[in-house]
Amino acid sequence: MAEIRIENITKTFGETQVLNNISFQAPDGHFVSLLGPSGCGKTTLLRIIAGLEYADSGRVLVGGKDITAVPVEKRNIGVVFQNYALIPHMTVFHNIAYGLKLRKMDKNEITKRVREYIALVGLEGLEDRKVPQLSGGQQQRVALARALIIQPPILLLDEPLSALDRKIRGEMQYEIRRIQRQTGITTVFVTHDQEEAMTMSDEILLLHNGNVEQMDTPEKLYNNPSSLYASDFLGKANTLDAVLEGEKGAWRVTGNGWSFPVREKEGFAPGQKVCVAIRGEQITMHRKPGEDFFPAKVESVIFTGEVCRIQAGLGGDTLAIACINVDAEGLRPGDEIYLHIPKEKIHYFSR
Amino acid sequence: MGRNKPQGRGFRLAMKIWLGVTMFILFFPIAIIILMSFNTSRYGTFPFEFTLQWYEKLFSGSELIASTIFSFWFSLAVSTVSAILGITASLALRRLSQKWNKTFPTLMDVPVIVPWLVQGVSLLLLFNWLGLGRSIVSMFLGNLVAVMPHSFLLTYSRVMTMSPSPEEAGRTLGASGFRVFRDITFRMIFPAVLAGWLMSFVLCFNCFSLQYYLAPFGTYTLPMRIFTLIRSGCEPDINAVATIMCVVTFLAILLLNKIGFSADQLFGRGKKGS
Ligand SMILES: Nc1ncnc2c1ncn2[C@@H]1O[C@H](COP(=O)(O)OP(=O)(O)O)[C@@H](O)[C@H]1O
Ligand SMILES: [Mg+2]
Repeated sequence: MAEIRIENITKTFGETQVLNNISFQAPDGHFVSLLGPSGCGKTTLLRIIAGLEYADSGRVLVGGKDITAVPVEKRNIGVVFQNYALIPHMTVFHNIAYGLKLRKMDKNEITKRVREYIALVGLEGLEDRKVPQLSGGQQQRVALARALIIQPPILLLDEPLSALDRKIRGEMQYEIRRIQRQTGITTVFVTHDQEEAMTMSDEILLLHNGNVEQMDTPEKLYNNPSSLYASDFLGKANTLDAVLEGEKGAWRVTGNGWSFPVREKEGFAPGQKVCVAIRGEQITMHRKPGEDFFPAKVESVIFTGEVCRIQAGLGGDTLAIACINVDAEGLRPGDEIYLHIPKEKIHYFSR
Repeated sequence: MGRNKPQGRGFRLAMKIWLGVTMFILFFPIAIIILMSFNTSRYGTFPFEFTLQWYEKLFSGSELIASTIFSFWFSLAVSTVSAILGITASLALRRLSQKWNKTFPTLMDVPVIVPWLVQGVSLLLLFNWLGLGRSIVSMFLGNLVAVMPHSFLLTYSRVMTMSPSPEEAGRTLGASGFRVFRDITFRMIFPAVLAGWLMSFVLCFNCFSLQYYLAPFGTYTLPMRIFTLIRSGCEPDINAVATIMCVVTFLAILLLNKIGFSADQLFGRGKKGS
């Protein structure tokens, strides 16, 4: 087990710059997700760590050792590919055993160890199955066992669940995390699904156009996004244009017919044009006016089981609000409501 | 199923008859040769009387059998080298740029398109100029040029359409380049290689024109031997050899079909969708 350190990785394919000076660190035993939309360079970064692709510049360190120039087959890194990449003519057993065979391990020892890992990923009884006779979820487990059996210091997974259907995906998310905790292996997990990243990770590295947008714990990333992009990518936020106003100690953001008090932030000054991000579920809704409440008009109400989604006209803008069902009981389009948003839940960024 | 087809019964009947005629034209001569190889009459006349004497004659010192054996080993060598070159060229080309990946396979089409007769002349000129003249080496290289595109294009289309990720997975597990090739790549492309190898073998075995141009004096491949024998009045042991060749070819094609290659892919040079 070891920590991973990425230093200033840059990569261009032809004319396009795919990775732009990426640096991050995954502490020993942590589960880090690389999150970003399709095409933002997640796979490329993972392949560079694995050694399947070479960076134009920058260094990759595992356990403090610089492996930038080490060829793939000498890196001893576990990789699970997006399409599983099982060797088609080998059985489950031989796929999992392949890495050990290459290490010239004793035959009995191999059999013993393969059994152990087959049990770990829950594939008992399928040892002699051929790859095409396996379901997607089963193939994924084989790929996982095959990567882990060589006992690598780090594990890399490239969107391993994207080809699975919803139910199995939830199951596998849990399984992968269980196995990761059990083995204590430092893991980098690539996904474009923010929910998946939030559920699974210790830390999330948000990538955007080949740059690191933010790296933080899921909670911090959600509650304290450092950019408009981050606030919008993790659970769609309301984004509104506004202007900073007020005296020292009493800043407000004022938009098109509305105004809320906000916390002061370094690098900003009253009079500045900003973009405000507010999450729908962090808005509290009241039927009566109160201090720092701002009136709004209900435009539509949609019940979706647990939560209720409300569109409300706030001055000249529209806000999407999420609240639990009881709070919205009896609400109709046209009703007047009063909104309160805690200072620290209003994020603003320069525009 | 056929209920919704716009064509009427008459049309379908006509098509069936047409198919029958075509099949008859294709297979009747072969059937006749096979039949005649078991007929006692030297001149192919009826009534049919069963005999194995032509096979006996063939295997007891006919010139035909020596040529057959020579042709067999010769084709085996050519097709094996052709298969190896096909693999190495395909794998090398996969690593090259897009530009080469367009140009090279097109260049490889040339020997397929240019008639063997023309190729024979040009190769003979080339080998004369090189000082090789008519020789086993010339004949070997000449036949290789003619059949290589077939094994190359079959292998190449497989290499370019298969996912590289099992090989990459192998490397991350610690397999060296050679181990990856032996354990993964070769196993994945094997059906295509086998198909190319069999194609090359059959084509080389039949490549009369190139052999006629390039063979040294006194060396006779089977097609050359049959050619000279037919000119000097033929014996029915030719029918026996032809029958054996038919059977072998038939088995080869059956095998190719078994591993999943249709005649269309083989003779359309396997470039589906590229
Ligand atoms: N081998 C390659 N050659 C050229 N461009 C590539 C190559 N691999 C990836 N790219 C480009 O790099 C960008 C990032 O790709 P990728 O890392 O696969 O993104 P992601 O995994 O985040 O979807 C994409 O625009 C893709 O087209
Ligand atoms: Mg990807």
